[in-house]
Amino acid sequence: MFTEELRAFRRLGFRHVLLQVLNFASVIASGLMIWKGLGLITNTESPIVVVLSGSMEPAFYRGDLLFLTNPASERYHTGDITVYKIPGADIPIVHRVLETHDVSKTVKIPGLDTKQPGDQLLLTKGDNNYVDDIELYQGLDWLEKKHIVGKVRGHRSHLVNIRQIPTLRRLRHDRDERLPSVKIRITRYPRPIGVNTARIIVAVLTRPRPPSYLVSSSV
Amino acid sequence: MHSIFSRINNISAFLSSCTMALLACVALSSFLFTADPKGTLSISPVKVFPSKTNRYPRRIQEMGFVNFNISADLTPLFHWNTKQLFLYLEAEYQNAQGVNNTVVIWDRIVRRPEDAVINFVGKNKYAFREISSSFKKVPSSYYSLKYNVMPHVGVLTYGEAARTIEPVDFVWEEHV
Amino acid sequence: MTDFAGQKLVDDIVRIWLMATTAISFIAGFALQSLFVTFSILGLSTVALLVLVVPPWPMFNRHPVKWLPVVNASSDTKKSK
Repeated sequence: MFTEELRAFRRLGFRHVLLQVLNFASVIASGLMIWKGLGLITNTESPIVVVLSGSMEPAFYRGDLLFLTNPASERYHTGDITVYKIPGADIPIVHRVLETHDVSKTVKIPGLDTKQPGDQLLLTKGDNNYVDDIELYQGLDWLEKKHIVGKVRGHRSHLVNIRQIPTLRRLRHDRDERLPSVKIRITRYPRPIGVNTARIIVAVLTRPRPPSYLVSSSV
Repeated sequence: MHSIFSRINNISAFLSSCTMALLACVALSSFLFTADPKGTLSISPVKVFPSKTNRYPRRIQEMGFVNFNISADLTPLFHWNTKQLFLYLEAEYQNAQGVNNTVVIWDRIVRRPEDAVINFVGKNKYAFREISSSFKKVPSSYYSLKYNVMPHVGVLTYGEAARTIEPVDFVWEEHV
Repeated sequence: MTDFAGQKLVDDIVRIWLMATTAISFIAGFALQSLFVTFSILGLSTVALLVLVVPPWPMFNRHPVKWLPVVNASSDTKKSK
């Protein structure tokens, strides 16, 4: 297999190898551009996330894709599904808002610093959990805007779609190669006991390139 | 297209584009279904008891106990792209410090249209607490039954199925 | 083996087939209000397409490339000298 590839490279010369490298780099760069561009439009660090655990079942199963937005003027309501990240915890969690407390004038709330009008205090809960998330907040009593990564706007069930299994990528001269879906795993996290957190990873999804027409059979 | 591998590759690439288009069409088709079913909701005056919380054992925290009655037929919300309904009963009130509160006190997941005819009599599932730990200065609260339609693919939509027109009062019982 | 005309034929079949079945599966699923119908039509038709197109059937090789006859190497070198 490799002798064939090597022979092809030798015949094509150094410039073709460079072209392949450039092609590969442009595929990766376009994926990143789509990702970052989406992030800018939706104002969230990860506009598309993958559900990693079962705490929102039967709404979201492992492997479902969620589309997030987080405009600066966003208000959260009960029933909204938010993705939040507690300082100190590595993995964002996707859970539903159970309580909202909108501050309309400057007020001192027990256990918190003074809150300004417009501030919002939130409590969340996973659909599949029996209790609210207060134990997951690592000492915080309420979630606030700064902890929220985004609100779930759209959803794609993993059951409906035939998952694109990335095939062996072949750096051939024909441009039929497809970019496998790139998964950037943020980190692994030990499972908190008793509470099922929906851990998520970021997935960059890029559409496959259109196949080139009539590829010659000789490289 | 000259070899078996390249044909499979080509088909899978075009199939994924077609599937994307199909999923987009399915997601868009959800907007054609604009059912807005209504039900009824009745709440008896909310009893308040002082209690203690696990988190702050020394702080007295008042808890509201809500007895309610729901009847609604939500079957029109089910169409080909409905995965499930998330139904929730919410209390809304403003406290003395000017904080507007919404608290979910009960919820239910409806997965089949057969289960979407709701006739439920019961009490709150989740603790109904005030952020300042007392309902003393809260005059009354409103309640509404809301739903979240969760699609297989597409946009999550929200709606309201019922609402209390009159405010519901809090009632303090003597704690023995 | 697939010739150039066969490659074009395969490409046309794949494109038209997939676009048509996507449309049909959407309409059928919408009419029957079932995503299961949609995706089973798409899946089954894709399997049929794979059977039709992936093996190198003889119908894709009806226009084989005609190469020029091999020129005798020894006579060729003599001529050039």
